[in-house]
Amino acid sequence: MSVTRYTYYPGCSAEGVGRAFTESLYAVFEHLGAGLNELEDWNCCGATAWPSVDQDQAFALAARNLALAEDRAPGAGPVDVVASCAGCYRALLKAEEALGVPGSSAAKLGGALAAIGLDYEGRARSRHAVDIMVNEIGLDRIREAVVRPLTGMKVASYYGCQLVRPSARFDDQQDPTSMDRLVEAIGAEPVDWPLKTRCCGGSCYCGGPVIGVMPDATMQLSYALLREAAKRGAEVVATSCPLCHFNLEGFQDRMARRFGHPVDVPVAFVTQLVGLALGIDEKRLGLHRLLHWRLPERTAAAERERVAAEGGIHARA
Amino acid sequence: MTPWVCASCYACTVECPKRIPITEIMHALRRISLREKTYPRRFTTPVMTREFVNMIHDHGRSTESWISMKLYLRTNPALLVKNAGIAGRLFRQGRLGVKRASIHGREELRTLLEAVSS
Repeated sequence: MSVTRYTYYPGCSAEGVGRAFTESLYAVFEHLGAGLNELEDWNCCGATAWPSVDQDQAFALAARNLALAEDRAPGAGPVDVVASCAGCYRALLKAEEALGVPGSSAAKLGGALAAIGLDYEGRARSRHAVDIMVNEIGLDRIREAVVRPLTGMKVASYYGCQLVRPSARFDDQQDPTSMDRLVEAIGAEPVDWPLKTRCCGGSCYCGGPVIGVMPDATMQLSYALLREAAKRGAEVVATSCPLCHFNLEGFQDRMARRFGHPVDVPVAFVTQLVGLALGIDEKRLGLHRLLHWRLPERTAAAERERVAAEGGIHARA
Repeated sequence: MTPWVCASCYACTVECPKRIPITEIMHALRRISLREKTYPRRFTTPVMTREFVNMIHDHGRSTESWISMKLYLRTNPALLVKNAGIAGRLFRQGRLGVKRASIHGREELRTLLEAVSS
């Protein structure tokens, strides 16, 4: 099997508070025969903060990354720039769209890139890691590679906002299913959850989730999501954005105090769940970095049974 | 005030039957209020926006620990104490770097930003 290599754009949060996303993504892609090369000297995508100060500059920031990716991938074919953070994905996608529409904005951006010796040919495309896993690597390949199915694990997939908004390139905008299909492919049970694209408030923490720019508002939003997921039987919430992840994971103690109801739902990156099912070492998946991780009892029991049935001398305790 | 509590989740934009880009309008209103200095001075979002933009302008990337500290100092220093616990946990789990991230092409980035604004 030939190895398809993708350009990886980690972004600031998937290198920091969400670094387990980057770690698990590398491990999973490598395991599935898809390589990731980090885009050398990438810069911040501009997030939602820069458009609030200057829209053209925000596009220019993201455009530098797209042009750099092309520069480092000679040839005529398309260059997939894979982002893990949904916010980065959206920022790069918006710049791609702005560059793709002939007019004064694209011309201005082209001129600015030329000033630093770069050029956007239209080959670099913004892609999200979930899109690549589902639509390029493919669910069949993932299903075949599963050695440790997450039997009985009830997973609520949280898509968040910017994965499918404002543009929905690879999934339905109102009712996306990519992550649910991924969850199904690794032997877990997707939980039907109407809040899967409702905002968690994560981008209110723009650029640094630890800070709590508007803690009151965001905590209410994320509390509603977690409560509804738990009510529907979810044992794990799967995310695909470092901001959503931290926002849902990091404040469960405070939510419990504030709303007078215990909140204890493990929140993992969807890549960590896929990695577990592929039999990748937990440490390589960054599971030790999560604040609340635990394997649901039913899944652990199924795992013990499976190992015993295989006559496993390597049986896990 | 309204534009500064927008989370940029684009729910309004995709729901609008007239396709009015409401999120973009919120961003535009923020730009106007920054330019005309009518933004709420000590409110977190505009402070955060400016600090974030300054950090990217100087270093090319954002470092979560630094930006959080700056925000607390400029808005509500009591948060330094309140959030010390969670910050400590994240630090121990290797999720909160104290070293400031920086790119090589900092000069290049500034040239790019100037070129697009001129």
